[in-house]
Amino acid sequence: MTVYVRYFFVGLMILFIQITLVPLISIEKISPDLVIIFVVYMALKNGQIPGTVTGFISGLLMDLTIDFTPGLSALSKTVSGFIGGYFYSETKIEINVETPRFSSIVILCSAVDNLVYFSVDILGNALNGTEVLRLIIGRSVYTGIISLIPVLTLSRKRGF
Amino acid sequence: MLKILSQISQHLKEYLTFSVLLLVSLTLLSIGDSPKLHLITQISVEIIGIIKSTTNVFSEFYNLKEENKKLRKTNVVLLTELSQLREEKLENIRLRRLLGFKERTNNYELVPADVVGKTLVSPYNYMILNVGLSDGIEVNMPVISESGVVGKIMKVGRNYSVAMILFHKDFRASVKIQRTRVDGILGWDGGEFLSVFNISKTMDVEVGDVVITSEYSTIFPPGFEIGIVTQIDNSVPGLFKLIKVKPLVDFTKIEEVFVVKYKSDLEREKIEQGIFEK
Repeated sequence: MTVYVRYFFVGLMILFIQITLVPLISIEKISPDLVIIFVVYMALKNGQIPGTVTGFISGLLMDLTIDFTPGLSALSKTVSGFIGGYFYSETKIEINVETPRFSSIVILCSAVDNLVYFSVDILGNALNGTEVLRLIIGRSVYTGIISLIPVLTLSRKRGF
Repeated sequence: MLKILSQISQHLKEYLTFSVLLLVSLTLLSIGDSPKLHLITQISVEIIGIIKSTTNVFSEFYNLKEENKKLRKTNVVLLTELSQLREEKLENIRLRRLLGFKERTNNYELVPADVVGKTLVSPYNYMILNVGLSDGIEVNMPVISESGVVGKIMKVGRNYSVAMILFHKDFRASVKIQRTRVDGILGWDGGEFLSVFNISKTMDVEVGDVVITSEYSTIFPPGFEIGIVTQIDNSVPGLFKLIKVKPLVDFTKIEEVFVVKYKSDLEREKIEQGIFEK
C-alpha cells in the first residue's frame, strides 16, 4: 500500500512538471506528455489494473489542471493505461522498463492517447486533419524520445 | 469469437475495471460544465493560478530590457494616436448629434489583469489571469489587450480565472471585415492562423483587411480589432472563401490584459433564444 502512496506523490510531481516546465520545451507547439510515460511505466511494472487506474486518476487530474474539460484526458489515459497493460509480463519487467522497448510502448500508448483525445475533433472536423495528424505524430514521437531519459538512467544504474 | 470470450473471462477483473473507469470518464464528459463540477473547477482554477503565478517568476525576467524599450516606443505612438483619437471622438460626437444618432456608450469598465500562466501548445489553449470573482469577473466576459482581442473568460475562481484565447478550438466570435463590413465567424482549426468562416466567394475581402468584432456578437462589444487578413483562397470547394487571419496579439509575449466588464443586451439574447427554440 505504501508503495502506491509513493507512486501517487511521484505522479503528482510529474503532473507539476508537466504544468510548469513542459510548455517551455515545446517545439512548434508540440510538447511531450510526461504523464503518459508514468502511466505506461505503472502498467509495465505493476500490471493492467494499476496501469488503467493510474491512467484514469492522472487523466482526471490533467482534466482539472490543464485542459479544464472534465473526462477527456481521463478517458484517453484510461484507454492508454489499459493498452499499456497488455505488454505487462511478470518475467519481462526489466526488459520492458529498462530497455528502448519501453520507449516504443510509450510511443504506441501516446499515439492511442492522442487519437482518443482528438477523436471528437476528428469526427466533428473541428480541427484541420493535417494539423491533428501533425499533433498526434509529433506528440507521440517527442514523448517517446523523452521516455528514453528514464530508460537510460535505469539501465545505467543496473550497469547494462 | 470463443477465443475472445475466453480471454475476457480470464481477465474479467481487468476488463471490469476498464469498463467502469471508461463509463465514469464518459459520464464526466457528458455532464461537462454542470453546476456539480463548478466547485471542483473553481478550486482547481485557484490551485493552478497559485502554482502558475509562483513558477512564472523565472520566465518573466527574460527580455525585460528589450520589452521595456519596446513599451516606451509603443507608449509614444499610443500617446500620439490618443490625442488624434480624442479629436476624432469629439468630431464624431458632434456629427452623431447632428445626424440624430443614438450615442453609443463605449466606456466599458476594464479590469487590468496579469497573465500568470498560459498554454499555447494544446488545441485547448488558455491563459490564467490573476483576477476572479472577487474582482467582479464573470464567465464569457471579453479579454483584450492594447493590441486587440485576446479571448474570453472560460472559468472563474475566487482570485483567478481562466481565459480561452483565440487559439482555442472551441472559440467562436462574430466578426466583420472593417473595410467592407462583410460579416463572418472567426474560429481556429489548427495551425498558426485563425480562420474566418461563412464568407461568400463573391464578397469583397482583400489581404491586409482588418478583422473586427461585429455587432452580432453577444459576447464582444463591436469594433474591437482582432487581426489582419493574410491569406485568401477562392479555389476551395463550396460557396465560401478560405480566409486566414493573423491575430494582432502576440500570445507568446503577452503579460498584461484587460477583462472588459461587458454584458450583452439580455433582452436581445432572450429574443434570439426564442427564435432558435421555435
